[in-house]
Amino acid sequence: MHSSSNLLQLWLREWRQPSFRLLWVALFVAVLTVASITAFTARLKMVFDDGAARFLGGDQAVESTRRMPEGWPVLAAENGLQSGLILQFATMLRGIGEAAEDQYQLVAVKAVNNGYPLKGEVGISETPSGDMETVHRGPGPGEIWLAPRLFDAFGVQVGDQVAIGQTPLTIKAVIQKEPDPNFSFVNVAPRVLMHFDDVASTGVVQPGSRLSYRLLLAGDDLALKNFNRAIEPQMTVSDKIVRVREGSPAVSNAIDKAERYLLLGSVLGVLLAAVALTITAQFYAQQQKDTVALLKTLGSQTKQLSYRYAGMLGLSSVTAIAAGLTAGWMAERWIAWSLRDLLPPLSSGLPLTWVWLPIVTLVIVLVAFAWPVFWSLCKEPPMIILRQGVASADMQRLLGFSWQRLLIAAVGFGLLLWIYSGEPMIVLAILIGLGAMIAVATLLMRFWLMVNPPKVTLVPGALRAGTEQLKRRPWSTVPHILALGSAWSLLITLFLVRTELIDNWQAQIPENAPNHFLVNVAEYEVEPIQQLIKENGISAAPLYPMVRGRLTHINDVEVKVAVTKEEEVGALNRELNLTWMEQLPADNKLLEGQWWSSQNSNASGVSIESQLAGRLGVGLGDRLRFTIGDRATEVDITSIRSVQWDSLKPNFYFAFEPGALDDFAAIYITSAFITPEQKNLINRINRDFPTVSVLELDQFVVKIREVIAQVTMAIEALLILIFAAALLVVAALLAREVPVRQAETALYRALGAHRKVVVQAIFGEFALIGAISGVLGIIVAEAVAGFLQYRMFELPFTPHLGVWALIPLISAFGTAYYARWRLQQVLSTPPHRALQTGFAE
Amino acid sequence: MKSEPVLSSRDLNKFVKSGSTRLDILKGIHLEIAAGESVAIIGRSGSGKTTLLSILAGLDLASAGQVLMLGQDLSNLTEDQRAALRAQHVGFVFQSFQLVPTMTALENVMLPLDLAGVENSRDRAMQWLSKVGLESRAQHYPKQLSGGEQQRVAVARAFVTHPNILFADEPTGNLDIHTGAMIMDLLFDLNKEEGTTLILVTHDVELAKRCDRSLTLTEGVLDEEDYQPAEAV
Repeated sequence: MHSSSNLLQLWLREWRQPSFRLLWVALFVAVLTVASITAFTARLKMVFDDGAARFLGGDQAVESTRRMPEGWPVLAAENGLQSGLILQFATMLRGIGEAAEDQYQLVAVKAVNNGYPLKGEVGISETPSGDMETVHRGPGPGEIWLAPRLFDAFGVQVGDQVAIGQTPLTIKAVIQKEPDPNFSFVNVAPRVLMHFDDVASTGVVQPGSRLSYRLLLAGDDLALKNFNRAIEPQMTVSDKIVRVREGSPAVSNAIDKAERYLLLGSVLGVLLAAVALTITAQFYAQQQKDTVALLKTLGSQTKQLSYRYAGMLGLSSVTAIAAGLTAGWMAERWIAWSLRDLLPPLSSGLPLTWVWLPIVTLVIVLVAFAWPVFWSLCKEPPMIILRQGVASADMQRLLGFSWQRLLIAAVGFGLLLWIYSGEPMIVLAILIGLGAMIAVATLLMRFWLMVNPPKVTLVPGALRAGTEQLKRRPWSTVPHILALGSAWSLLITLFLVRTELIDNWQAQIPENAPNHFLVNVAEYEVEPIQQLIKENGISAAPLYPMVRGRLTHINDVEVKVAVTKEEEVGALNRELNLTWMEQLPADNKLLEGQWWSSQNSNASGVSIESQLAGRLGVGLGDRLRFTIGDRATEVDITSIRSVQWDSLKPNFYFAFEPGALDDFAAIYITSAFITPEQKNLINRINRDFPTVSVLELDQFVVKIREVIAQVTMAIEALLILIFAAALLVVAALLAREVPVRQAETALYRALGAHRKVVVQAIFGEFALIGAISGVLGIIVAEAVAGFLQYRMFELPFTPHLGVWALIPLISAFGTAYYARWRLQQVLSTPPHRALQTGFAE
Repeated sequence: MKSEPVLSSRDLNKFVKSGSTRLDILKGIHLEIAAGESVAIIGRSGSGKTTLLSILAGLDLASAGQVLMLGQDLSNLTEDQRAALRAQHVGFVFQSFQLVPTMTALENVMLPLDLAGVENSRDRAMQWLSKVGLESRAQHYPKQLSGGEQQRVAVARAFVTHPNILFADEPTGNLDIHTGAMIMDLLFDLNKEEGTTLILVTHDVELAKRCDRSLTLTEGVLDEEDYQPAEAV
């Protein structure tokens, strides 16, 4: 084309053609899919980080066991960061006044300054069972807030006084919910909140006290980086920077997996859009063949024609990008608006990737998938295109699938996957899966035609008629099956991984997940505690004995020598909780060696957790020496097992054979699920078993559930988006089929075919296409999902029988009914007009 | 009239509306065609010949008026009933052949038999293919056949069900003179042999002369000036 106005005119003229509009719609949907998924992913990432930040109490924390330099909060403020200071320690809470005089209770104190809480809110109430209100502050100086159970234990209410050390403090509220319920064994006791400035006057913080300082920071990444760089020279071994994702493994695991999932989702969404675009481009090119032939006959050269189509595609892309981005932005706003109660508002705008990723994607998709079709049309001699009745092989070469085109498409696919995932593994898994599907489908079709060529034209019965119809046009049917099969496989892959992921999370934190730990149970208390648990109908893990000891030697070599310095193993720097057990816990898995049996016991075996075994470089048969108190004991590694660390049950690195630790005094530990209604039981335990400590993790469990619910919802929303893209593929496919079927249907009708026969044949054929696509889709999806699950999400593979039964059915009926609906008009109008149009090649 | 007409129309009108303007394609067509008769409808391009043929064959509906085929009023039948009537009594030969590209020559001829649920469709179709001299091309697809061959397949397909009425719409329009003449010989021979009523749409006056009578369509109006029943009988 000579000028842009000519191009615009041409473009507007082509716009009248349905096939051209369909191509434009596919471009538009490709941009829309990528834009909305990118926006959605970016938004969710912010939400996740925000959720994780709430968990940590800020975007970053500096933890220390010593008082941090005064200058750090000032430095934070200079860098534009908000900060809050927290000091945690355990001490005795003392009752004041007649009723509570001389009562003492060990409590976990959290002293906070005016900056607390940086993220999230504190839930408080007037009475232990009163309505909760949320506030964005901690207690003021002279005030104290107490956990509900302390009110009953001390017989106090809001307004009374209690004392920490020397200092009397006024009770101002009941703590119902903490924004940052991180737990550690320091917090064995009920929570108490007080002001940071009151700590000094209490006198409880002395040199040697076990303290945990936490400087919470909130602000953007750059400010945090600058701050970290500035404090680094002043940091000692006691100081540690905790980043947002390191706060809690259960939460960060869920979020990491969800992010990977979103990534996978966008990759698959783009692939679907690419499939739709390829189909519509072929459709349009097919319709253009007469025009191309005519223009060539009139003297147009390949170069001119390719300019023509490049210009048309270019203009279509520009308009589709503009429209797609606008619609994508509106969709994102809409999602944000409709989920406004569930998702917190965005702290910053959408990232730039939101604009460039759809554009880059579209260019790759156009060049790799759409352009080759037009190019081959432009460079053919006119007679090949013009000749009435081009041999089907020629036509297939021109407009259908060819190996060169598949190769270009595969490179395009690969490039896209690379951009989106950055992981060669995903690229390979999906490409191999789709490639195998194409090969298998083509071979099967050839084999089928060879052993069973088409026989009768229209036979009674939907399935038989459908089978014959399908065999009659194998080279237009196979691409249909492949496109539909790809759509299914991508959609099912996403669905399967989603289901596994969510099931896995839910299994990790089931409804009755343990939410309380009972620690420090003396041997003589084991039976009464078990009795109490049983009487109250509480589900609890077994009581595990615990002996604290240090690993000192591996095969008689000192552990410091045996394990190289580079491999810093945290477990070596502290005392470990050692246990013994008869049975392997249900959520542990034996990986190597054998679990002990009672018959051949010589009480000298130990089972080690697999990751620690790897870090220590030890295996079956290695001899370990532990120092417990002032004595040593030696055991051989008889098994290696995996441990579910995020199960909220007692877990141990080392499990000894029963009897191996009999010479040492043990305390016991268990975890239990206690409902809010059963909370009084904790008071009873505290009263009847004064040495037993109860760790309350219920808030922590609730928080994890909230995060998982958010993530699950995000994944479901994504699945809906992808589903819409899959529908477009089906719609595009069938739109292409309509003109072909119109003439054929009209001819059948002219020759006197009853409507029912034609409907049956169409129904049967498309049901068959749907069913075969469904089965192919499942096979590929199972393989790809199984592989991805194993490699990306570390989940075990399980076949999905329900999907096997359901998808081919849904696919068959869905496709057949949709095809029938699309051809309804042809079936109910007189055949006169359709016959005039003739057969589309 | 020597017998009941197999096909007749009364005050047949066809018009299309485009916005506020109305375009009349057929105006008050009145005709009667007897069994075994061969009738040519001639006229210039755009005179409404093909539209008239479509309406007479029940492929399209009139805007007003009546078409009776074998005593049945087509406008009172549903699309399916009209299809059933066509399956039993009507054959077609089109200008653009209208063969199904995904079927072989033989299968194209079998098609109307299969649609009517006739047994032995393969053998009967094969017989007709031999009659038009194409038994050796039975397994070829339309794309592998020349235009003349394709039209011969279409002729075989038209006669295979022994229709009472055969509609032929410019059957030689896409063929060269020599091939066209061959097709017409074939068509008239078979027509005589089968005793079929032939309704031929053409713009070729010479071709029309071979029919019992010819009707001229001029701007939607039918003129029956060359009625020659005596010569034909």
